[in-house]
Amino acid sequence: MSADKVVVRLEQVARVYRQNSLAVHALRGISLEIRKGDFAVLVGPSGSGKTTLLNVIGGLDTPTAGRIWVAGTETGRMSKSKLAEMRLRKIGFVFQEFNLIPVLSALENVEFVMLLQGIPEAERRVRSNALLKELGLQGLEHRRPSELSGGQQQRVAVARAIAAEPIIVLPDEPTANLDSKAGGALLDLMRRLNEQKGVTFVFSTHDPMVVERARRVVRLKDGEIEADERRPE
Amino acid sequence: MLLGLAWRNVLRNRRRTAITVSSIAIGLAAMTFLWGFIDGMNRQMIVNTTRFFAGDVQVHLKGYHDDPTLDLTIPESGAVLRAVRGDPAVAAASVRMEGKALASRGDKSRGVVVAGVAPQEEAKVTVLFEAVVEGGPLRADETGILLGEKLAEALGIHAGEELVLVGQAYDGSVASGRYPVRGVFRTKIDELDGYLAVMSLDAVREFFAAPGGATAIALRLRDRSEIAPVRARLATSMGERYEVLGWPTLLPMVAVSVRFHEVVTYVVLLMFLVVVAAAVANPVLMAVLERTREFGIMLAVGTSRGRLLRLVLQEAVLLGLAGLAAGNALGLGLTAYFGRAGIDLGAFEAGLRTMPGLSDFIYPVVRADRSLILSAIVLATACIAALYPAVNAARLEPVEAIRGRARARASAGHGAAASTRWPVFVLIAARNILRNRRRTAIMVGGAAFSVLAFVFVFGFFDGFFDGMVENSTRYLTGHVQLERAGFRKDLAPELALDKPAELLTRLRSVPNVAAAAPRVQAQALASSATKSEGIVLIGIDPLPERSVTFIHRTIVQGKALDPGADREIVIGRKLAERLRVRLGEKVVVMAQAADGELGTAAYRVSGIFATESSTFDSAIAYVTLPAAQSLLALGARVSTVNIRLGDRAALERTMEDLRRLAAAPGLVLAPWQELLPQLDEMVRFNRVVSDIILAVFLLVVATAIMNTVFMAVAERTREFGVLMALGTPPGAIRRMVVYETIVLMTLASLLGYGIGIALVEYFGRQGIDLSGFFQGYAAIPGLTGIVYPKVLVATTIPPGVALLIASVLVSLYPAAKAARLDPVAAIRHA
Repeated sequence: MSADKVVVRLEQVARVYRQNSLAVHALRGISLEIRKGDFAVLVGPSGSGKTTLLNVIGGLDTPTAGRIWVAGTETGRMSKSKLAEMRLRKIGFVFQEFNLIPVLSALENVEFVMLLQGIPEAERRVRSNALLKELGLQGLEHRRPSELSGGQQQRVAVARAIAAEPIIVLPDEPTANLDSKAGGALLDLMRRLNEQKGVTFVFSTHDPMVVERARRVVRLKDGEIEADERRPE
Repeated sequence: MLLGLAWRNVLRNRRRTAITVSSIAIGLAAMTFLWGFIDGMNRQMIVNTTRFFAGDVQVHLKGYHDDPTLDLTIPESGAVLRAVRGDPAVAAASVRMEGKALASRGDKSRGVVVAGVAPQEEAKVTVLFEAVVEGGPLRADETGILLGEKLAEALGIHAGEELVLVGQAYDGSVASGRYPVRGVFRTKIDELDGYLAVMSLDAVREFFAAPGGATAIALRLRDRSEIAPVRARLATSMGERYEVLGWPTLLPMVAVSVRFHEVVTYVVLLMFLVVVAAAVANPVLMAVLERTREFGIMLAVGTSRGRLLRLVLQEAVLLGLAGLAAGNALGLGLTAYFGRAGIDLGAFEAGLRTMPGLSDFIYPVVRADRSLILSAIVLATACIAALYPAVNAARLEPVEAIRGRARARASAGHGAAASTRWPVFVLIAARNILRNRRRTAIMVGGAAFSVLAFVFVFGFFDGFFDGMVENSTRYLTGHVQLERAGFRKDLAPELALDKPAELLTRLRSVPNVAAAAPRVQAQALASSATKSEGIVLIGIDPLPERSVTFIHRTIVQGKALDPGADREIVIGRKLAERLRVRLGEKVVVMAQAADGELGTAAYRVSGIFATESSTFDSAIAYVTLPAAQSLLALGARVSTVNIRLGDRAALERTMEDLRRLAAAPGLVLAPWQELLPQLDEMVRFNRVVSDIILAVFLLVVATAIMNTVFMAVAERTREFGVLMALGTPPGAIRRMVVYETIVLMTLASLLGYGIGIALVEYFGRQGIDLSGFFQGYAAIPGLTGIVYPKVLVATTIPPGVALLIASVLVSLYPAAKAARLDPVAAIRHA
């Protein structure tokens, strides 16, 4: 596993929104490299561009200028369905509000992405069960999201995000809706996945607890990178 | 303040407002249009049939309508005319002298009604002269006669040629005269085209030897809806001696059709209302569920529950009013447009041709009173539909509500491990349906009701017409009649079938032929000691006849004909009344025999029958086959063979078999549709009407379903965003929405068909008693007061399938919208 392998590269990426006749510059010429095994956080005040940057990296949003490569493939000019395919194969999302599919059980939520990928049922089942067990959700496999606590739901969301073995996981404020105990446990879990399995994480967060545990901190302000600091192991 | 808040809420969620308003508007517009269409059709029927000859009101001497005879001639018509013209509601009045006669030309003759009119006065009341298609109209100063087109055809006569009229004069002497045919008219009304001969009033008075006499005064009113008060006034002013009759009594066939359309319209409008209610309830319910948190905050800051209730109701009223405005604009606009342009039903011409008074173009009518009623009912429906969610909103617990949980939210239940043999999106779709049970209940309920309504209404139609066809064919014709070509035109005795025994054996061997009976049929004159009436004389072989028709079961006095009773006759009750004969008395029958001589025979009345049809009861008499054969000098020959099928639905196939077996030059097989054309036309015409209703209904239901799917998509915007973020391809999102609709509609169809078929089966056994609606209308052969609905696969399945297909098609649009969502915006969607 080469720690230096670049999984995502951004070159002068800008994103301008039009709100009525007003142009909002969410990102201004961001250049950034995410390497395999990174456990990075994007920090900055509200409106600094953290979520937009995550969305652009994950192919949910497309930049108005600049170029992006994910696993060596340029994604900036991909069609909607190509982008969907890219997200399916290479990206894992974790949302602030969990956003599990309400009508599917925990197990089915974890299986969902693998199913879209066409992984056979037996393999899906084995991998999902193993992941849920690893994340401490044994016995809750058949519960629907509404029957799980916030922390449990977010762990299912993490399991869903990593189940299909993406090259990068993008949690957007994952601890914002959790109490400090559940948030801490979730972070420990993700850190363990990062260290043991080499899963790459890029967070956006306001939470000092997240920043504390990160090995790389990218500070954003007004859509620009103010600082990019790597911490020793 | 509260109203202002309600108004802003309505404006805030424009999509939801648009969906609700459009649901109300399209429902209301459809109802407005449909009612206008039926009103237009009825008005056209009434106008066309009354204006050709009947007029709006007629005045006779009492009893004339039931028994039109010269004995009931008004002696002082001038005074009566002055009296009716004095009524302010009467626009015009025309004096008429009517009587019966035999019209002959060469060897052809026909019984006719001779009507004498004063051409100038008559033209102010009716437009018969405008219907002249050959020759010219009548002039007061010349002798001459106008004939109906069918009558002219039957006599083989044209304008410019002469015919002979023979009849009985007022004084009992024989009346006769030779008259030139001035013109031929075509009204498309059988009673007029086939039997009416019109001359100048003076000529007819002279013919019947009744100078100054009149039998009827026909009136045109300034406003046709004023019939009841005019009748009442005239009845009072003219006293006991006279009868004042409105068009519904004069034209019962038209009245019963109008009544039937009205009954169907009420039923259909009721169904529309339920569908519109479901279509409105859904978005209002969604609007409340969606704003659970907002209502929680309002309750938390001290809004009273009563105020919250009023807020939600006021929103519904505002939405309802907007829907009324849009619906009335659309509905009245459409109705008014087609009211001018007309709706071309030329494609269904076969169905319209002999429906009395209808032409290819129907002009819908805009009526303010109808719109007011509909608007009030639709607004009330919208408010009632909003009541449940409004009460729910007012009962929210503030703390729970602020957390975004409605108290009554359906619990999810433990999902068993998904069977992954199902595509996951079908699974998600199915579970989504269970997730929001109220929405599902409303949508499935609404759609199921639509299917149920279709099944029931079509079952009702099918049962109604099936009953009519069955009764009619059972009274007289059977299902198929074998005859010589041209026989039915005149019932000419010389057009008889040779070797009937052989024919019968062959016909009876055809599969699906349940029974076949030989008959003699001829036009004849039946006379008692005091009166004569034109009849159709039917000679039957009593035993085989019983398995083809059930006339023997309609005997109300005496007994049915037995084999060998060759000196006996069975007549209809009305005919007995007209001839003033009783059981055991003699009737003399005269008819032209096959050899051209006049056959005469006397029979003793051994039975009197009564069907529900006055046409049968007043014009038909039965004798035995040998008696009729002897009267008409037929030897062993018969006029027709009438066949009853085991299964009427297999008519087409059996006709082919019959043609193969009984084909001979000059022989034809006539199915019941040809034997009873009026009935066939009525059945077909009402099929057209029900198809139109179906189409409009389908449009409303499809709109309601599309709106519901839109609401379901809007509600789950964020979920779709997440699915997209996870890499779900847009196609899969589209499919999921469509699957959901299919699952819902399948549920609805099963439910609707289940209940609908059960209802039809139940009422099919019990019968639905409509005799109250049709009281006094006995003109349509086979029309009975009790309807037995019936499920016919051919008419029941298509509406359900059409609804399913339409729902899937309309769900494609919201599905495509869902698939095109911007994932970032969708995930942020509150």
